[in-house]
Amino acid sequence: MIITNIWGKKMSSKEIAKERLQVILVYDRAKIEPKMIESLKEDLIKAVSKYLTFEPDNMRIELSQEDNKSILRIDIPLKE
Amino acid sequence: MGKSIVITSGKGGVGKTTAVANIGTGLAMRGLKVALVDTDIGLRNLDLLLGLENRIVYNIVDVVEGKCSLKQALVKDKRLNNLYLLPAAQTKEKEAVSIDQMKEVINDLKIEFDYVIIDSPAGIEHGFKSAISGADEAIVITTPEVSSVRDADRVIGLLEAYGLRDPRLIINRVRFDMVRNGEMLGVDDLLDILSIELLGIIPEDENLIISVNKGEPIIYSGNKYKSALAFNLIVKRLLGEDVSWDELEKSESFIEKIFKIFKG
Repeated sequence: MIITNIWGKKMSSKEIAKERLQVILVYDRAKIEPKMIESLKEDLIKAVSKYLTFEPDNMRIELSQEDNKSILRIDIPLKE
Repeated sequence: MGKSIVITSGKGGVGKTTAVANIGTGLAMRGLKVALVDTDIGLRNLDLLLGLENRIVYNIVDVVEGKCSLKQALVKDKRLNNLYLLPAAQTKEKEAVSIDQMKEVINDLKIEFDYVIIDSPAGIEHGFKSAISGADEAIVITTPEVSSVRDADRVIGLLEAYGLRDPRLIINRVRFDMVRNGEMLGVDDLLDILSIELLGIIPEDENLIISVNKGEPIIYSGNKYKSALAFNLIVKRLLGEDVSWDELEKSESFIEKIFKIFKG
């Protein structure tokens, strides 16, 4: 069965399974609930807004794994 | 001194006990002295898969409680006189054997046997910890389903945390036709996700159900069935032989072709 993912790319159910697993395992290995990242994002928006101007929609938070270490990347593009 | 290997998975129902019965039998068929240890206290099953359920007198809890000797509790296999089962207790609590007691039992068995294969209970609690405590090596078994793979990943992390480095992976219930059609995670996908060494691939095989019904490990059939061939390849690899996994897929598609000819 072919399903389309959120970017409009055609994906087989096997690819969907692989993608879902890769995402959840990064959270599992870091012992972090995915929902926690959402709460962190909200708090960050509040905190950073006090000092800097930026578009909250452009903010990106990404948890990844490199060399057995969990890395949290936060990108906040600032307004000119 | 023999070697102890624990077979574990996290998730239940993925084929741990079947793997223990077949790998153990396979090693014994090659003349090695093998002891199989069922550590699933309260939910004993390995005896059924070996067809030994009516021969059990004592169990592992009796051994640690000093009610019998280790030798008395060992049940000899029906066909192979170098294969033994140390049964779990069916009526005791999960915590009836402490981690130290389990370690001692496994160490004692390693003196007598070439291989001690430990069947771990599902879960990651006391039973799991005690099952892995006496093991020199670990084998993690998973099916290609997302839930099973997630649990396998957790177990791999725990094994490494407890000092069992480099566990190896068995992938059970693989349907090569579904993998080819993009409907099932394949071997490469799983190795990619879990980053662990592959020990074996077992194709989905209805003959396994029949073998469990009869209480005869399927590996007795030689290479007649695809799952039996798969277990034989695993045993070979455990013994250090170089095994190509292509052999399995080729043989499966070969068997499938023959089936199709017969079915017309």
